[in-house]
Amino acid sequence: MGCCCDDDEQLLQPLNPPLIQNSDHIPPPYSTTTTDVHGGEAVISPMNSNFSALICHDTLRAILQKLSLPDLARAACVCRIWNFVASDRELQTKAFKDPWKIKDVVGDPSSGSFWRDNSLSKFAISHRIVRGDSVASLAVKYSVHVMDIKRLNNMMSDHGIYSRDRLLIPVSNPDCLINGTCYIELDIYAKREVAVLYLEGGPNPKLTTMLNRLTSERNRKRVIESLRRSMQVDCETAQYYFAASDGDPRSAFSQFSEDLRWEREAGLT
Amino acid sequence: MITLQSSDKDVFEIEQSILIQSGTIKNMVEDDFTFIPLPSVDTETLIKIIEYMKKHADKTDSKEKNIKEFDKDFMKKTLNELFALVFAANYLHISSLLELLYPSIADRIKDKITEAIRQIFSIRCDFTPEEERRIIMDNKWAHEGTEIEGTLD
Repeated sequence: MGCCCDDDEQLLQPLNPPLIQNSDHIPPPYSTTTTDVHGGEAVISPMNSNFSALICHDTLRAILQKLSLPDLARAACVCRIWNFVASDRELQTKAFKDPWKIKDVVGDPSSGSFWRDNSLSKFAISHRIVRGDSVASLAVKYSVHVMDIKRLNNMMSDHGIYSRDRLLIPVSNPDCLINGTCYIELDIYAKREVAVLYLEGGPNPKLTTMLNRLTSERNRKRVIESLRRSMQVDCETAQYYFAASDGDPRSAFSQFSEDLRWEREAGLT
Repeated sequence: MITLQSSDKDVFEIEQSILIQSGTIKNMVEDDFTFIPLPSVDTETLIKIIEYMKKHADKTDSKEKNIKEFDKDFMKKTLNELFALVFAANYLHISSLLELLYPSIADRIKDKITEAIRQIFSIRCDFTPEEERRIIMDNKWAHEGTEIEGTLD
């Protein structure tokens, strides 16, 4: 965050005084004034507020950074200045981590709203599936309900466990988060972003790239299929244009249209 | 001895050793000023600041507990007074006082609903109705639950 001075200057314009002069003409900054509890015109605006120190973003940030996440969220609803300061990413991530004493959260969520809620349901333990595991055995091992594991991983049946490399386990005991490092991941089965805790080591880089490749492979196939349908050509042709345009479907289509026009003009079709 | 002058033109003579807790005053003393006007600080606030600095000037071990007690009582002030102190401590660069003030003010925000915060701090809501609706939706989860205190402090 840059210096708050520019904002301050703008905001202080109406008040205008250098406090050195004209001190007789301005109401003393710290006097109390009456407020109308029914929210009428008599309520003081932040500009005339008794608390001119609040106009300084740095001061407000220093105060708000002591707050818990729910308090921070309520503070963000107070007025524009408070909303701006309370929405500061650093402030939010700190308030996110502090109650659980998490050491670090790695990764960037797709939207800032991820940080606004740090209930236990945002977290999960990653369990790499080994031979002999079953949903029931995992429920016992981690002291959670079978239904909760299945719900988190969107499992229709208990047997789907073997088609997966890992399962996300809901966190029942928040102590396991203390001093831990959580990785923000978009889990393809849970279909949402989760802060994942790895009890042994960190995320398996091979696993993550493999999962990423799986999703991007699936996406690629989907795009090529839709290209094929709109170009009304066979698979190979669609794949060719997709590759030639470096994966950009729009330019693939326009390239195809270009070629088609050329063929027509050249009398080939 | 250094002379401080408040915005109300009251003067106070204090030992240099006590006043150097203020970064601003320390700098001016090093530049050989003995008379320091403080146009941003009124008398009432300046008295409190001096009281704070006097108490904290003597930091021997035996006084640690006393100082802690003093700090606790010192924070039992109205919000008006606390903010006046923040403003002055900021200007005077007294970081230990600021570190004391921020959590005390944050305590007044803790567990209060938004409307209560506005009333306590005398802040007018300057959102348009659509903005307000959107912001409350964004933070809806924080407005639910039974631990919220709806009454004013």
